[in-house]
Formats: sequence, C-alpha cells, structure tokens
Amino acid sequence: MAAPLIAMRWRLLGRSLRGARAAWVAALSLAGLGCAAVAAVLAADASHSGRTGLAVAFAVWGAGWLVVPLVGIGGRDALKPEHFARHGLTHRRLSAGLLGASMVGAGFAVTVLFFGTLAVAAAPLGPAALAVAVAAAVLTAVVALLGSKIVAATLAETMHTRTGAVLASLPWAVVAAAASNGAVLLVAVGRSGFLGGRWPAWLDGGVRSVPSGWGVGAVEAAGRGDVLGALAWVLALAGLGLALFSGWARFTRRRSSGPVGRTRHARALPVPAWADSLAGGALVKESRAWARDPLRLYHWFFALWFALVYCAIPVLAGTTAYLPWAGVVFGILAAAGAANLYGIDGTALWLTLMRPGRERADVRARQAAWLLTTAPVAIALTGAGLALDGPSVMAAWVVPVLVVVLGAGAGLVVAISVRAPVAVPDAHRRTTPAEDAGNTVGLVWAVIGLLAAAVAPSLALTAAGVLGWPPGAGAGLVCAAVTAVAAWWGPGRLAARRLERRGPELLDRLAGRAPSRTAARTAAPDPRSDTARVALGLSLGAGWTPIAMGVLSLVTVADGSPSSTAWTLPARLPARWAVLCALCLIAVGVFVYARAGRLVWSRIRSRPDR
Amino acid sequence: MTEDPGHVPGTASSRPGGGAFPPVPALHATGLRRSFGGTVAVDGVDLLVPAGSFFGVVGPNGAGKSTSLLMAVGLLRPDAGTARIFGVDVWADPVRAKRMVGVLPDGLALPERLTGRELLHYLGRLDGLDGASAARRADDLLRLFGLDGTGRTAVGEYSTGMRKKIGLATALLNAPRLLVLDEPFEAVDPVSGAVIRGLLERFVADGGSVVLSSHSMSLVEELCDRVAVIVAGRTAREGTLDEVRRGESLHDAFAGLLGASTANVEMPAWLRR
Repeated sequence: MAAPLIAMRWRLLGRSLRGARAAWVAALSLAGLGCAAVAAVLAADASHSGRTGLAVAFAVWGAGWLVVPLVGIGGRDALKPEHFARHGLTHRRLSAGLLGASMVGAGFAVTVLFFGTLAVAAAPLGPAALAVAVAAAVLTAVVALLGSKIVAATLAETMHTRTGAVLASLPWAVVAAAASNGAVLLVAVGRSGFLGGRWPAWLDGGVRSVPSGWGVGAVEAAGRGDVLGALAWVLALAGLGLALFSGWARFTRRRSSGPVGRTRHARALPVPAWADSLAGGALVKESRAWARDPLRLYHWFFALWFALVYCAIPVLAGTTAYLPWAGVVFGILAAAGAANLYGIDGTALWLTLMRPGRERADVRARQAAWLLTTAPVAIALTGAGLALDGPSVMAAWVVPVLVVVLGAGAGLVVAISVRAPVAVPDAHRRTTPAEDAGNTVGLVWAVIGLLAAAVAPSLALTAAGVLGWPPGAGAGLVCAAVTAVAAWWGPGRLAARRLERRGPELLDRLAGRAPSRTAARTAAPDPRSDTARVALGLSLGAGWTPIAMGVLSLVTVADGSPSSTAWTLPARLPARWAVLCALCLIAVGVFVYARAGRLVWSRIRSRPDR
Repeated sequence: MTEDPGHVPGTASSRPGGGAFPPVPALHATGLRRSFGGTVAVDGVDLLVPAGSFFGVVGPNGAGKSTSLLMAVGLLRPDAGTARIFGVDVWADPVRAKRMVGVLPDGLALPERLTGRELLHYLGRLDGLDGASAARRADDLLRLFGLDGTGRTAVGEYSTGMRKKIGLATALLNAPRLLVLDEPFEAVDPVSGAVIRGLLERFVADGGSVVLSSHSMSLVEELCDRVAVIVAGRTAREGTLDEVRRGESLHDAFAGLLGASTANVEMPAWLRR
C-alpha cells in the first residue's frame, strides 16, 4: 500500500521542487543541517546541563513541527485522504500509506538527522545505548511528524468555523511577533540570566517530560546501566506514536469517507433599512463577508494578536513605550492582511464585471467595511496603550500616525489587491487559511512600506515640533488628516478605474488563466510573478526600517534622552558616531526605496495597459 | 435603457423595450480568438444568434465552448474578434451591452458567505432596483428554483446543483433580453431541470433569446432551434437544427464532425466478462 503512495509523493516532489521553491527548500535543508551540527555539539557534552541543552533543542525542533501546519509551509503537494476515497482501503492501511509517503522529503530526513544526534551522545556508552538512541531518534521523528499531521488535520476541520480561524491565528501571530521583536526579547532573556546557564529549575524536568525529551531520558538511563529504564522510554515513545497514529487515522477515515460534516448557517440577518441604497447595500454585503469569512477573520485576528504580543513583549524588558503603538501596529497588520482583498473573493468578481458602472460603489464599500472593522479596535487599543503607558509625549507621535495608517490603509487594501491580486481557492474548496491565503508576502510588505512612506511627512512635522518648532505638532496633525483623506480617496479611485478598464484581466488572474500569447508578446516580463512581487514588496516594505531607525536615533541624540528601544540603537554610540550611523541608515533606506521606485517605474513604462 | 423594477422576470413586458425587438441579432460574435500561454483555446469562432432564438452550443471537452461564451459576454478579453449584444459592442460599450444579458458562467465563484436571498437582494440593488423590488424578485426566484427553504444556508454550503440554480437566478435577476448559460442543467435534479426547461421555453416564447452550451445532444435537439458545433477552437458547423444535423440525429452529426464513432468500441480483454 505504501509503495505506490510513496512513488506518487516522490513524483509530486519532483514536479514541485523547481525554481525558487527548490532554492527555498535547499536553503531550509542547509539551515536544518546546520542546526543538526549544533545539536551534535550539544550531544557531545556528557554533563547534565549538556543533556538539558540537547533536550531544549529537541523541544524547540519538535514544537517547530507542530507550528509548521499553522504557517502553511509544505503540504501543498501532499497527498490527501479524500484523493483515495474511492479505493477499497481500510482507513488504517490508507493512513499507514500516507504516513510512509509523508516521510519522503527533505524535512523528515533532516529531522531524523537532527534527532539522530542522540547517537553522538550514546556512542561512548556502548552498542546497547547506541541502539536505544537510534530507535529513540527514529521514533521521536515519527512522533513529531504525526503530531504535525494531527495539528494540520484539526486545523483543516476547525478552520471552516470562525472560532477555528480565530484560534489558528494565535500561535502564528505569537511566533511572528516574538521574531519581529527579537532584539527586545533577547534583552529580556539576557536579563533573566538564561543564557549564562542560570536556567529555571522547572526546565530540567520540563524538557525531559515532553515527548521530544524522552529519547534523552532513554540515553541517560542507558548511561546509568538502567536497561529497563531505557527500554521504558523507548516503549513510551512507540506507544505515543501508535496512539497518535490511531488518532490521525480517525481524521483520515472522516476525510476519506465523504465530505467532513461542516454544515454552517449564516445568521439570518435582515437587510437594514439604511442599506436601502446602492452604497449601503454594497457596504452591508462587504461587512457580512468580514464577519463570516474565516479567511478574513484569520487575517484580522492575526493582526490583533500580533499587535498585542508585539507591544507587550517590551514590558518584559521593563518598558511600556510600545504599548501606545498597539493600535498603529494593529492597523498596519490589518491593512497588510487585507492586501489581497479582491483576491480573497476569487472569481466571484464576475458578478461585479457583469454590472459595469458599479465598480466605484464596490470599491468604496470595501474601503468603508475595512475601516468599520478596523478603526474602532485600533482607536481603542491606542487609547488603552496610552493610558497604560502613563502621561508622556507619546500621544503627539501616535495620533497622527494612527490617522494616516487608517486612511491610507483603506486606500491601499483596494489599490494593491486590484493591481496584483493573488488567486485563492473558492470558499467551499478551502482547507486551512495558511495554505489557502496564497503567497502574499510581496503584497504584505508593499502595504507596510507604502504605509510607512505615507506616515513620513506627518512624522517629520511632529519631530520638528518635538525638537522645538512649536507649530510642528499641529502641522503634523493637519498633515496626517490631509494625507489620510488623500490616501483613502486617491487609491480608491485608481482601484475603481482599474476595475473598469482591466476587470477581465483581473478575473483571468483570479481564475488562474495563463495570459494570452498576444498579451505575453506585448506585455513586459511578468512583473507580478511570485519572485518579482516578493522582491518588490520586500524592497518597498523594508526600506522604511533603516530610515525610521535613523530619524528616531537623530531625534534621540538631539533630544539628549537615553535610547530605550531597538529603534534608537545607534543613539547608544558616542554622539558623533551615532549621527554618522543614523545618516548611513537613512541613506540605505533611501537607496532601497530608489531601487524599488525604479523597478516600479520601468514596469509601468513597459506595460501596454497603463 | 431603464429598468422597470415592478415586473416578474421572464415576462415580455418586464424587458427593456419588450415586445417589438429590433431586427438585430441577439448575439453576434465574429472571429473570436484567444490563447492561454502558448495554447490556442479558441481560433476563429463565429456565432450568430437571431433575436428570439434558442441557440445551442455543442462540442467536445476542451473545444473552446466556455471560453467563447466568456468572450461573447465580456468576461474574457479576446485576442481578436468582436462580440455584439443586440448590436452593442460588448467591449466598446459594456454598460449598455451587459444590461441586456444574463449570464451563467461555468466554474466561477459566487460570494460564498452570503445566503441565497442576500446574494440576490444585493445584486438586485447593484442592478439598480429599489430595495422592495430587489427583495420581491429575490423571493420570486428562490421560490421558482425551490431554494426558498434554504434561508440560512450560505451559498458556499450549497450543493453543486443548488449553486447552478442560484447562478441561474442571478442571471435572470435583471430581466435580461438574452440569456447566455454555460451547462445550465449540469448536476441539476430532474424536477428542477424540468422547471428550468419550462422557464427557458417560456422565456423564448415571450421573445427572449437563449444561448446554452450542453453536452446533452437530446436536450439540445429538444430545446434549440439553432445550433453551433465548436471543434478544436473553431465553429465547425452553424445553422438551424436541420442544417446542422443534415438528416441524421444531432449525436451522429456531431460524432461525424469529430471523426469519431461509438459503434465499434474496442473493449480491452481484461474488462470483458
């Protein structure tokens, strides 16, 4: 049973591992091998703390397997149980075959190697310990794989509900927020003495009690000559593997015996009286999509969790300075999450295209619905953050930025998604949001970068106010209001015009149709291919970071206040070097933006449909 | 070209300019051509649908039927060729042209999180109906297609046949003069199929025009007075039903055009009993 499935998986891998994806997998595999080398060094340390370190590494690796399905890495070419529903297979045989097929691939091979470093720890202890280590390593890898499959299967079933979408966004948002605020997290970790070997007492037992640490327990038992103890650990791993297999087989049975029961009912809401107009009707339609579509909810709650965690982490390092920015971070992420607004609705766009003249109403309704779902929460978060941070000048910075982010966000979500939509499966064909959202990395970064650019003039005026030009603060607010209105109205108009003129081409993209040969001859090299889009988005999105660091550092140096966040890190240098470093950072940012701008301009010039 | 929101769809008087139609074809597509990447999907399709006719489009899988119909109604830009609906160029004046046509495309999505009633109501509003008229038409159409009992079910939860029916309802919502329907009977249960057939026949009897694609030759023979056979991206034969079948059944004429025969199918030995 497993052989044909493994052969199918092998063939699918061969087809999908090409170009950028192959490079990506190769890079990840190399990084994994590097981690395995580090684990081998840890394994060579026979001390108790060395073993604890190895168990910590295993726990982190194992947790990675559980997180992988949440972030949608891999799985796109995976064989699904429903593909084999028509074959007369018992669900256990099918599950065993699918499990075998899942083991084909770089991810599992690297994981076996990673856990295989147990052999380095066991080798000096004799052949029996080595055998125990090898068995434990393989079993741990299988347990990690099965755990990952159960998370993926649970996600696939619960993600069809709104609650599932909300919960699924949480762990990924926490991981992303922690990674984004890594510097502050490291400060907190450094203060805790964790890196100096002063680990909390619970860690020793904790990392050995989770399944990833059972192999370490087995090797330690073998080292003590406790054969029965070593066998018990290995048997426990085998038992857990069987239990997980049994659990996963239940999911397989449900999925291979017909559609998973997921009858959902929309709340039968009456059409409100105020919606009895063209614009009102379109707004209610769009608002209901925000309230009911798990994919939209997933992105919205991701933004919320991210903002809360991102701004709360610095509290661990002793500063509340990020809290007032929670609303701004939420607004930015909510806009970034809606960067594929038109793409999310897929080919349902045809209904709009069959009603020419209504494009503007549709665009404005989408903008208004985004604002209605985002602005109240962003404002509430900002108010709460300012209150928790206590009296400070922070409000003078935060308020204009928030105003611009909300206005420009409402403009960008329609403009970007109409310009470069990413096709996603229709709602009734979706599995998990992470898999279904498509590769929107470029769009997300483009929105973040453009929002940062929109904020810059208001921030500059506000900075002037803080540095001693009294009208600066008021001018910053006025500039923010004007920017917000202009960045809402202008991109919205551009989006409507694009829909009117290039609606069928947009539908082509959403339907996944290849461009025609004629279009391919006359059009520029596809500027919206994944790689180009990601590169452009990253340039637009990342360019503001060094500029912001440079400007904030200059303000901090001029102000004479101490640097308290990673954004003003250069200000910790001696004044002369701090200024030089800040200017260099600004230059780097300007250079990145200039390159991105040049790329955009060359695309626009070479497109026949501009 | 204004809407009269007060009438039930499908009746002659509810259609713009109902009654005396101008002597222009309901749909006239000439020289339609379209490629996807390096593959030419449609390479010269002509369709002439006289006003008041029931027009069938048949062809093997992948012949270019759906692509041609999408180009004809303005949902897919052709590489070459023109399409006119009642004389109005679909690409030059889409606002006027699209007001006269109702479309059921194959395989395109609907706003899946709305209930059927909500979907029809909001689309009615986009079509320029006032709230009360949109609500009335939504209720009429849901009842007509037996979907009035699905009040709280989102469209994303509909079965394939139900999706077809709600799609057909959206096509009828603006009381069009021309219906372009891609596989309207696919996955529809027999009772609903009979309702749809009756509805389309009445629609044509009242002066409307229908273009439908189908793989069912018997259905096309029963319903249509004119037929186009599309093979390998070209119109292989077009005309009245009799002109196309030339004394044979439509099925045999179709198989003849494809150069295929089902009479002597060679069965693999391992499949024989």
